[in-house]
Amino acid sequence: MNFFREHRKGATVALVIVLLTVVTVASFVSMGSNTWFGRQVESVVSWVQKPLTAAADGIGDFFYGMFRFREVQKENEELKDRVSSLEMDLLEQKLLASELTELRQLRDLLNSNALTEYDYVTSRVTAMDNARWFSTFTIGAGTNDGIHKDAVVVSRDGLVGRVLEVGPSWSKVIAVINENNNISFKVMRDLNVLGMLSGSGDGSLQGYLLDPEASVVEGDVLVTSGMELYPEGIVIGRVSSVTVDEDTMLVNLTVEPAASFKNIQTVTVILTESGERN
Amino acid sequence: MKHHYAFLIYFGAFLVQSTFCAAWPVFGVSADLILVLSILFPFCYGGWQGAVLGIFFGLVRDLCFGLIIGPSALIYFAISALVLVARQFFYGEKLIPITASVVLGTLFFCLTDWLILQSFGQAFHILMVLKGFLPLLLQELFWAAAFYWLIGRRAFHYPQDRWFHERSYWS
Repeated sequence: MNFFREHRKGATVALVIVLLTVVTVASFVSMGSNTWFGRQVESVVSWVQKPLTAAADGIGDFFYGMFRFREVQKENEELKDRVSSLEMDLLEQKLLASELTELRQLRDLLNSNALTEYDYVTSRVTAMDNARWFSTFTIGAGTNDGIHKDAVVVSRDGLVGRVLEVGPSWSKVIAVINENNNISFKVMRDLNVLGMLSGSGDGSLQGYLLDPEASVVEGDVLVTSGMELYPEGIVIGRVSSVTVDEDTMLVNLTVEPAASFKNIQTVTVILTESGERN
Repeated sequence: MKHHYAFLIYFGAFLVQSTFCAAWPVFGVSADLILVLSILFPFCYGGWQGAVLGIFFGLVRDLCFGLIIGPSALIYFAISALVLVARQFFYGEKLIPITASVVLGTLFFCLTDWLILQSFGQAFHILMVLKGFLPLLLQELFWAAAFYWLIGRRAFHYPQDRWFHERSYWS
């Protein structure tokens, strides 16, 4: 006992470190399960963050418009020319038999009712933490809006992630690039080609094809297959590299996610529990 | 510094970090203001105030954004404790010790956070950590300079503002 009295400072430091380590290990064991107290803290913090984020976005948009007006104007003119050119190309493409087949496959995918019968909630991102390398963020909608744990989150570009924790008016979302869970996918060019993806730890997704004989090339667009958590037909990303593992003979893929995780402002949450189709 | 002022500064830093800084990332990375305070508070004011507030807001940060609760609090506390030790040798209103504290503290945070998350099965490549280190460090130095010029300088010029007497860490 005298030892602890004489070395009070060191003992206190050691005790604090041990306690924090215990908290960390306990949190890891129940990954993603906040206590009641934790949820109350998040509710309060989220309530304060919402107006600040709205203010930050407004100020950012103002300066963006002011300092990049000429650039935006130039980009607008370029986009108008591009749209005209694309409209001409579209008319030509429709006459080609192979393009018609792809359009029919795409039509079947979109009409599969995988996405059309779910309820959706759109929400702004109220807070995020870009100082670290994993992407979790908070949105300003929760159980009051019908959001549940494991609801799928998408943006206009594609799959973003899923809801990790949910409160009355907030939800914590984990990005798909940080997911250790597997995501089942199909290749849009050939919907019979299936595979599995997961976060690679460097901002991209890595995975493999279930059929080693199947063909995938760089640039192929991958969509969710609907076999697990994620509804069918959500764009995941584009294949950036294809390699063959000589030991396992599996075709390994690296995929660049379609959604940008560093500057998300608005997301849509698909309420899969309200109309389960998987 | 009075405890309630220190708490308000930390709370304000947390809100700014998660809203304004997050809305305007630089090369995809935004500043960690709690880290800056966890380094500069012990350096400027001594005592365990920075460490205790670092634990509290580290836990809040992990609650709000973390996959595991605890690593941020642990690292902020460790950094504050190390700064307190180093302060015995390098204390003074000098640019080099303050800059070195911020640089080394940021590096320590990045590597230790990565190591802890790796230990718990979260696969984040070390290159991804290192890629974000330089933009993070530049922003940390900017915010450290802002804190020093606005608030921290007073601790050197008016020592009676400090809550704790300056004494040896080992006494």
